[in-house]
Amino acid sequence: MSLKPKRECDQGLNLLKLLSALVACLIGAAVAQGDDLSKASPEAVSARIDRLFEQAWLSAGVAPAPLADDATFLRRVTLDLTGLIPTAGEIRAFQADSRPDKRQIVIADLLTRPRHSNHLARLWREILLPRNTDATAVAAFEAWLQNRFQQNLVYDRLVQDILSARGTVAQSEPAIFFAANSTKPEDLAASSSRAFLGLQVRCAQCHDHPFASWKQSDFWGFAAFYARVQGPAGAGDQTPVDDRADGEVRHPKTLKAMIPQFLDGRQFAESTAEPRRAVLARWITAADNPFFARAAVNRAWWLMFGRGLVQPVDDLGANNPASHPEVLKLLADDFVAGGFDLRRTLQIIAGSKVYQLASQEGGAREGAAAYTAMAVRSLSAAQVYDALLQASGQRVSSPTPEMIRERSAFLAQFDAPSRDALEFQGGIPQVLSLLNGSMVARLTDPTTSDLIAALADSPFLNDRQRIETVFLATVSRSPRNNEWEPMLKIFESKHTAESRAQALGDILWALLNSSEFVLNR
Amino acid sequence: MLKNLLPHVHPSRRRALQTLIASFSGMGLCGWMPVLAGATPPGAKRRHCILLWMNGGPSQTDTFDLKPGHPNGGQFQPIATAASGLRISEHLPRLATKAKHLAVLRGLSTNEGDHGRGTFTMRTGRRPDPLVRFPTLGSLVSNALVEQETALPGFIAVNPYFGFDATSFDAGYLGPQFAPLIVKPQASRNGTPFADFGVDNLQPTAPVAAARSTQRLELLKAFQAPVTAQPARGPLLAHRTMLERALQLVSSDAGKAFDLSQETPTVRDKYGRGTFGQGCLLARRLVEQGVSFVEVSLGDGGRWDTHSNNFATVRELSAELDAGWSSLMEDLESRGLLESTTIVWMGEFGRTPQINGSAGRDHFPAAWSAVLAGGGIRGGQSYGRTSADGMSVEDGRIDVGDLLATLCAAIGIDHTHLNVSEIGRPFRIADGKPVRAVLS
Repeated sequence: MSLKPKRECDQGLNLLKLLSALVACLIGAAVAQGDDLSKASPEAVSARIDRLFEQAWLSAGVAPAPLADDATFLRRVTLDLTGLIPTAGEIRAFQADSRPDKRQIVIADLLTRPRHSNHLARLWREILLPRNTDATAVAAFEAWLQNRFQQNLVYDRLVQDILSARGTVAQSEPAIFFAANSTKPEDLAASSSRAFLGLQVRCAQCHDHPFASWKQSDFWGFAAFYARVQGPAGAGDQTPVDDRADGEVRHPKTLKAMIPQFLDGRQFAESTAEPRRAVLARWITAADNPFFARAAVNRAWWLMFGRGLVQPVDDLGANNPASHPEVLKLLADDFVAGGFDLRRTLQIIAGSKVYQLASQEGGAREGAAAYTAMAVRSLSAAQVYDALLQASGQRVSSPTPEMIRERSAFLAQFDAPSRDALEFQGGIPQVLSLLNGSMVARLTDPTTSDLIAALADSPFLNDRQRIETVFLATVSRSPRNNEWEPMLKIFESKHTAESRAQALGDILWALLNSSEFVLNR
Repeated sequence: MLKNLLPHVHPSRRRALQTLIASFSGMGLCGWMPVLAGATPPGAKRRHCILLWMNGGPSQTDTFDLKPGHPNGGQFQPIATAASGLRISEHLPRLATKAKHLAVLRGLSTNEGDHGRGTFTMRTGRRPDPLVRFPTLGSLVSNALVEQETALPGFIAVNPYFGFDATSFDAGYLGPQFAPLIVKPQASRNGTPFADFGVDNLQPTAPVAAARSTQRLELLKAFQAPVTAQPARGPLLAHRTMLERALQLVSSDAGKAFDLSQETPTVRDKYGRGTFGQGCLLARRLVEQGVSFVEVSLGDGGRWDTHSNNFATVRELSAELDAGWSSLMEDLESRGLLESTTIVWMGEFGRTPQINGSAGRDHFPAAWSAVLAGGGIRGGQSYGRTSADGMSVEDGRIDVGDLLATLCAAIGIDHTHLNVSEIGRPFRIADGKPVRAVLS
């Protein structure tokens, strides 16, 4: 890593100090480890993560929870990797599977499903596009991302493709990233530093930030990389994204035209051969960029645990250290060595024991940072919607853009400010919708519910088996001993096929409205 | 024992929750209302707050701090009001008749000129900090007024716009129990010309027979039993609370407050037909039901952000503002509720006194206005003064902390009360000094 030893302006001193410390830390740790990650199997890296956590627990004098049982694990990993809950059939098959490495096998399988790429596409779209982006543009961008993730296109290529977009939003989906940021240098700078580097330089847009190391000149120097991009002012604008030969951004106080400047202090040399943003894209995605890989693997961790190793997940500044720096470093090094393969990183995390621990009753936010138990997390509104369809027997395959739009309209009803999985995201409107809404009414009515109809009509099942299937399909477990009694009592008094089917529908209704259904344990 | 079950809940809220949780074991639907009726201590007067939130940053020069005779003044003239000495825009004539309730704070000076950061600062009283999730004003106030629990949630946000900064609408470290119930516009009913709001699904879409309804709730109670019995935090506690609140809402008739068709067309018309006017009407109905904090927004998508064509836009917005706000005060007053309801008018920042080349005004946080009205406020006055060109504060400078501290004092809340964030840092409700001159 080449760093300029000293910068002329003292504004950079803080930043320089931070980077020197970071570099020293990275080099020191690399020497201590001294092995080749590119040849390590994902399982071996998972085991190394587990050792790091075991050491941390030992020195903190805390004991981890036991491993989650198979059904809980399957629900968790299916939700985290595909956004869906498992079907009753999947749970039964997984419980019956006696292979010792069945968890590894199911993780690998989930990662190749179209729903996995769809899930990642949705998450990355939420990261990349502001909330108020036009719905059609959102759908098109998400479909493009999904295609990329399905091909397991490596992450650095994905980011480069976005940053080097050309053409109109109709011709080229990555151009939507520019449209969503109004092709304004300051918005593009803030958005790309946050999304790809986990750096909150935006705070420095208006003034020097009192705590973080970024100075106003750092921000505007970074924004200068986008000074010569022209493009759409919004999603409806068909101006093509392209590069101009001139154009500058000015420092808002000194009014000086800013020379592009990388966030690690490296200087930029203007060249007619390639546009500024192409040079920026190369710097962002470089193997030795101290932030790119860490930001990506921290996101992956957040996806699996509901919190980042660095939390908040998009603030990797020096003021905000990782809870487990060695784990972050291990994953980041592996990510670089493995060629920016996001799927591999997710496989490593899902395969670790720390991911597979049972959840802590109550899901304390404080305890979550020690990772001695999995935190109880909330399903997002989108996951609730998909889980409703899935639980009631409707197969959710890869949705079309039309379906994405339809679902967005449904979800708009439940638009909650919070996107934090460690909080319940639904609010009262969502709860009311499950209690009284038409969707749940349809899904639980024997005359319209695929699940209830199929179960009620099946001559091979007895009441217990029917009830158990409804449990597996919704909360991914069998009824507990004390839950059987009230249910079986209801069935005793039902003597017609119709009333028994209704009773089954009522059980489904109650399960869909229970806390357990909307939580990921 | 119960103390351990509910470690992170305000004591008074805890009492209400305990009662709720206890009653869950015998959850008959009609059992909810009596439980809650006793929540307000006898003799205590309910207090309320209504936030009129202006999306995009309203122009002070064209509303409450006019500069007639100066080139920055623009096209609008001031008019006399019912309070001698207080003059406001000619496009707020009905509000002018209510001026004895208004205190115009003309010396507001803040630091944030970006929509997102400005929204955050004005709605939380804080600068954005990646390490702390600050609660929005409605969560802070409804948390402090928690004694007066009703069947409706204590904090209801009518038609909020999340586009600038969604985290400014969050309950933050107070927890999702204090998050707003968000009410969005619905398609107008029966072809009326009025905007309608609603909370969907207060009634079952497909009602089932009473016996089955009871059976479903018995089953739900059984499945919730382990959840109810164990100490809960985070999403588990929050969902449990929301479920109880939702059941409470559907089992009471409090939800009727959202049905504006119960008002006569004359009343609806006087508030203005759009989402702001009808939102003010809804706010009045919610306050009548005992809701602590209601916010109503004007300027969907940031219409107050008048970088161009300022005067026509502000004129339109003023008409909506005038009808909704003055009707709200009139009706609250006639019901004897204005003295216990404090109204605050503000946006994320003001706008430049200078007029730009597109007949617009740009972002300007250095010298702008907010208005307090109603309960606890000594109305009929302005406080603070800007220079003749409007560019700087000459007297009575306040920042957002002072504004919120003043609001707290008017509502009867101690703004120095400490809430503890999830990482253990204590924060006052507001960091600032109440402006005594505008308090009654």
